[in-house]
Amino acid sequence: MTASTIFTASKGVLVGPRATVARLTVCALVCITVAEILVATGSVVPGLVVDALLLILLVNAYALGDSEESHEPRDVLLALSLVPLLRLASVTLALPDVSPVTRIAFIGAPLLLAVVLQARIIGLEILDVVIRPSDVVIGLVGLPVGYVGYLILRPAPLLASPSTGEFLVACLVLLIFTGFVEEAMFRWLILRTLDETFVRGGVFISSALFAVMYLGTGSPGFVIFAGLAGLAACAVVRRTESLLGVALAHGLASIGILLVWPLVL
Amino acid sequence: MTAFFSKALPNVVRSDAYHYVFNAATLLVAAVLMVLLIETELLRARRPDGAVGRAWFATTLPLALVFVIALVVRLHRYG
Repeated sequence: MTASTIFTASKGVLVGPRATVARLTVCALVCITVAEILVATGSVVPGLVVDALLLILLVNAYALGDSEESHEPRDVLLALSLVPLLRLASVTLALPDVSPVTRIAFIGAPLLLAVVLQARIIGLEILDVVIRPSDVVIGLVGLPVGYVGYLILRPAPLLASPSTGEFLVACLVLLIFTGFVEEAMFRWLILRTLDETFVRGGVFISSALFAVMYLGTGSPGFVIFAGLAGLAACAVVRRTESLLGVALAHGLASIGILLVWPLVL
Repeated sequence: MTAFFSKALPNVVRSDAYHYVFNAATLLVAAVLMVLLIETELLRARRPDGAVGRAWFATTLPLALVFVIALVVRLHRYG
């Protein structure tokens, strides 16, 4: 890769293939935001159409790029395709007659498969998979975060009066399919690939995207809260080079917001 | 966000419009799947390094899983 193709720090502008990828990335972010606003305001099908078109365009832009140049700048386009995929899966599998916990697992399983396949294609190194004491400490931060999140959103409980078994299964599903899968998407695949194009800006773009995906909650306070939590999670992942702490924190926060606090308070 | 999402659409999920949204979403997934599968066949030769096949495989397989789950649940619940 020549000097002209990388971020030129002196002028603060992007040139070469990265500039193209950056423009496509910004277009994708705008499309995702539009789609999320449409879905959040009840125009679900038009929002999904935007997501479907975006998904095809992103995969095409990634796969049909110039084969002579490095894959790295374009990797972000493939990683971003996870976002419309997530929303398409969310609506398609938002099955009203299925238990909410099963529904989350149904939505999360294809996403987990997509994350694994994309990580292999992009060639991302697996982050540290050994749980360290620092991961546990970071994970426990999810408890107060979940409390604050509940106070802002005050959702109905995911399960009205769960048995111990149902509660434990729900905890496991939330830990894996909201904690691990969503953190792997936003703080691993998307953040790492955004960093290739936007350098330090990747943290802010990834966090903004994470916040946009919560527009559907209909709570501006919760969207801001999600954005700030995303920023903090990005900072932690960058510092510790470990995904497990933030995945645990995200999972525990989800358990608090959806399972524990609605039943206790 | 997958866990909170269904709460964002209470009016849709609990109303008669739900089946319309459900059908449209399933059809959209099917349409995207078809486009990606056709493209894979048409454009595979353009990238001898296999990038086309790999990129589309990583998208079509999860989408196919979404479609199959939606179809199985729909057949099971609504016959």
